[in-house]
Amino acid sequence: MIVYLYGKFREKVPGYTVEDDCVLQVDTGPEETIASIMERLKILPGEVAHIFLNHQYSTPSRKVRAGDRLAIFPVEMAVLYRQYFAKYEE
Amino acid sequence: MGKFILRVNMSDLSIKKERVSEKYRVLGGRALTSTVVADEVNPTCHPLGPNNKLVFAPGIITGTNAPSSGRLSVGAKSPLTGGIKEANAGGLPAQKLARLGIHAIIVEGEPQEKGKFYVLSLAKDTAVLEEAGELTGKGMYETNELVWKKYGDGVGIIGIGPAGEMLMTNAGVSCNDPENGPGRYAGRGGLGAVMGSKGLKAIVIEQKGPGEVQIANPELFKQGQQKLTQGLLSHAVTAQALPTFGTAVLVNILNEAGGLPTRNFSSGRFAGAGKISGEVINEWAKTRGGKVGHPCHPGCVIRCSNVVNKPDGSYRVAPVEYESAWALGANCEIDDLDDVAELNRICNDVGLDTIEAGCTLGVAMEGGVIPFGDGKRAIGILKEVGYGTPVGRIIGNGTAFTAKAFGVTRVPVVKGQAMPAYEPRAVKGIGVTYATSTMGADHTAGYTVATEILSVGGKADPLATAEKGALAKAFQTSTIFIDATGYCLFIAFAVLDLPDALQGMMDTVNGVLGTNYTLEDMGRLGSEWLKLERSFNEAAGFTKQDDRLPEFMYYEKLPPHNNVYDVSDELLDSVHNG
Ligand code: SF4
Repeated sequence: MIVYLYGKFREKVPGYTVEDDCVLQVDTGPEETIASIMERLKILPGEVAHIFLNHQYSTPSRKVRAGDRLAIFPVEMAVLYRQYFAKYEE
Repeated sequence: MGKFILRVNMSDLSIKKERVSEKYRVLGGRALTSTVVADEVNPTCHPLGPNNKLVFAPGIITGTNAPSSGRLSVGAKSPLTGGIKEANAGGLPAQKLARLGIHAIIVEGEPQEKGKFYVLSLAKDTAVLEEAGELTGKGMYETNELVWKKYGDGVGIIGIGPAGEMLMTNAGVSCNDPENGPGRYAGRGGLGAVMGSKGLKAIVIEQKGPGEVQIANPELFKQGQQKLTQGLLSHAVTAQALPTFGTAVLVNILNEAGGLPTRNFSSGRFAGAGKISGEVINEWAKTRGGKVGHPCHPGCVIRCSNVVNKPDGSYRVAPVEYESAWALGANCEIDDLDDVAELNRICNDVGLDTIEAGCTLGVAMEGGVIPFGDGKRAIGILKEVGYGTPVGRIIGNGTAFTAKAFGVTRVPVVKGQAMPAYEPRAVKGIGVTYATSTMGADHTAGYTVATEILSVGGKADPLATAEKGALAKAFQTSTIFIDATGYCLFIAFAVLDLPDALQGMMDTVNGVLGTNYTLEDMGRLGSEWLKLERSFNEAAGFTKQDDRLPEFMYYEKLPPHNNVYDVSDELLDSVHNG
């Protein structure tokens, strides 16, 4: 799967720029969740504002599979009128 | 000195100072502009004729030292929608008006000599109409510069550019920022054209110091002010995200949500989104010497505004907001932030609303006038608005008008007003607000309700519940309340999550007015004011058929979610009648 990182999470990708996509290719095991991917990337739950899995506003409990697109935004990018977004849970 | 209303008659050039009635005393901002419009304007009048009135009102709290409370509401019958309109802006003018004791300015009539413009000059105990002279025909950058030269640095300026002078229905009303940039716009709904129709080029406000703002219960006010400030300074959005990245942080977020309208609302994702994002603006502030964390008026603790510089480090524009970056960028498939910032600068100079201008360029591109993605030609065509060429006049009259002129059927408007930067097919709840707002498609009409705090909805997906009609109404009632206070709507991010901050806001209102409003009153008053606006619109000829999204959204699937808009008409009708 591909993980798109924004804000300070970009620093996890060497040579990143703010203008271009900042992506990591991550292998997924069985029973992998967004939370376990975050753990592998050393992203703490408290550092995260918004998560989108395949463009759906998601909780960390959702399962992920090969081919998924995951985007993670840090707390300092927390702006969103989130009450308008359906939140997908597992 | 108590508060007063200034009535400015442009037919005989008279200015009267009027007492504030008890009915109007407890109103401010949008509640006051809409009440005056409903009381005094015939809903069927021509918006650019002598019977429309243009009302300026600072909010209830404006002029005090409460945080982020310097908003100015501007109201009238809209020449863009044909309904009631309120648009508000920050900048210097609102606090100065309030500190002069001005509760509202009502501008009526029309000048006897067409094409002649005036400046209303205000200072302590004086209000004078002067001929605009050399300001006539000038863009807002030059206007503001000339005004500071003549009246002194630091004066507040409310003005219109050439678009407003030429009565174009996408003309906005500019307020100057602390550096005298014209970028704080009460942009939506063509209120700049109404100001132009009154022959008013600018209002200049000379005022310094804390002024004479009356606070009925200073102790309660102070408590509330502290609670709210604490909330704003502790919440992740108002203390971190907005000062760091500004609202343009949303470009990447909405793109990931598949809800960033792209290529005239034909996709929810833009490949070039990253290049026009708040993250780049933040980076440029470091490399080009612009600014983030910029307050649009003294006393804003959120400071979401920014200054975007040219590659050589010289000033280009302030601010580039999310809505503008999206409208002039993604919606036109323009991924060069310098071009987007230049388009924004032209809007500020000519006097146009950036959302309407971006949507207009989108339909013009779809109509083949210029290609999608061509920033340089978009700059050329937008400049024509200021010159008043035939194409410029078409573009200056907004999205629906331009779509008709060029035979485009994908027209992203509600009640004649262009949609902001949240695609309703991806973010369905906001579509309910776009459809049912009294203002036409307007994102600021309703996103502020504290679902948990007000015990409405409160579920993971509130808009998928049976109460979504009621919830959408609650969004709108709480928003109109904040618009009445003069607080910036962005306080809602903190107020949404922190009960103490919400109580703080209410305490400041009660402190200023000497009232005992509760949170229930917020809903009740908001409801009453919305009803007033809806009654005006009904009398102006609107029916429930106008509370709908554009037809193409019901049959064209939007990638990447591949959804159509499927919220039922019954639900939309239940928002205000449920
Ligand atoms: S938060 Fe932004 S728009 Fe609101 S008052 Fe402050 S600087 Fe102005």
